[in-house]
Amino acid sequence: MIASTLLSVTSLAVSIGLFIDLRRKKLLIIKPSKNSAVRKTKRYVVVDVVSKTPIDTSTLETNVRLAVTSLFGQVWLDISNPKVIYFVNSKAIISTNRVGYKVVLASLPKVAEVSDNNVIVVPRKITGSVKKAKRLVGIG
Amino acid sequence: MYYDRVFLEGKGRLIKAERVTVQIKSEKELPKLRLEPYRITVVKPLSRSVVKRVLDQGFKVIRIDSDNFNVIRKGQLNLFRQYDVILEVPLNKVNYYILRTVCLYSTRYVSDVLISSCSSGVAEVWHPLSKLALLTSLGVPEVDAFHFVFISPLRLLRLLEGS
Repeated sequence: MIASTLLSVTSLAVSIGLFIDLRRKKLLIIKPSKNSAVRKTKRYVVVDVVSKTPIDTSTLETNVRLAVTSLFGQVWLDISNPKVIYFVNSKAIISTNRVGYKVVLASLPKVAEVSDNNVIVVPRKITGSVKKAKRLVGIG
Repeated sequence: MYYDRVFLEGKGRLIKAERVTVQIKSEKELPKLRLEPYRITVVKPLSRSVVKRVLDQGFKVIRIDSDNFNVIRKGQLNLFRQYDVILEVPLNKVNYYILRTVCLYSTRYVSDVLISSCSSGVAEVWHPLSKLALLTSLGVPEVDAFHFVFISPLRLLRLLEGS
């Protein structure tokens, strides 16, 4: 009985020692799990804005956020968090994330009226880098 | 290219084709319906007894919205499959529960569903990418959503060519 207990304690001590030794020599690397829901990945939606009167960036962003709220609610607005980062030559880049870019895309037809003017927001392309999005808009 | 010529309500501009939406309440109104060449007739049945008669007459496009969603029973979906019917769902006249239900049932029973904007102006037109994103966020499988948005309108055009 005593012998078996001693054996198990010794084997445990040896295995812990081996584990610490391997970690110290960087032979055993424990990677954190890649949970796709947790990973922060940006998405940039390039859109064309067609309107008769000029619109400023903040108005467009407010209307996009209102459209997302009206269609999907406050929860999805907080998840997707759409922001207009560039608005040049009636082309805009809306930044969002991988989880919520479909929500933003689906809400764009709801942005039909901005300050009593008819507006059409046409999605053109979804990219993963702001560099490519800028190139599509024509400023990069 | 064909979108503004064919799928607008009323007479087409550059080609002879036109699209007409007809509401049918009772069987007395059925003799008014006639299949004509270069015309897509979209029928909106408002009573259960009319549905079978409309399909017997050879009409291929049935419209479902908030008014007649409860008219169509689950058993009649098999009829739609037999007659190879296209279902049309107008986006601005349904709530999203109806849209989701029609799309999910149609993946099993009906081969084609048309998701139409039914807009009164240019500003209300839905971009295909937005339609796709809406359907997938409602829980429709991505393959089916792609089929409904991009393939089903082509089938409607093929119907027109067949006429």
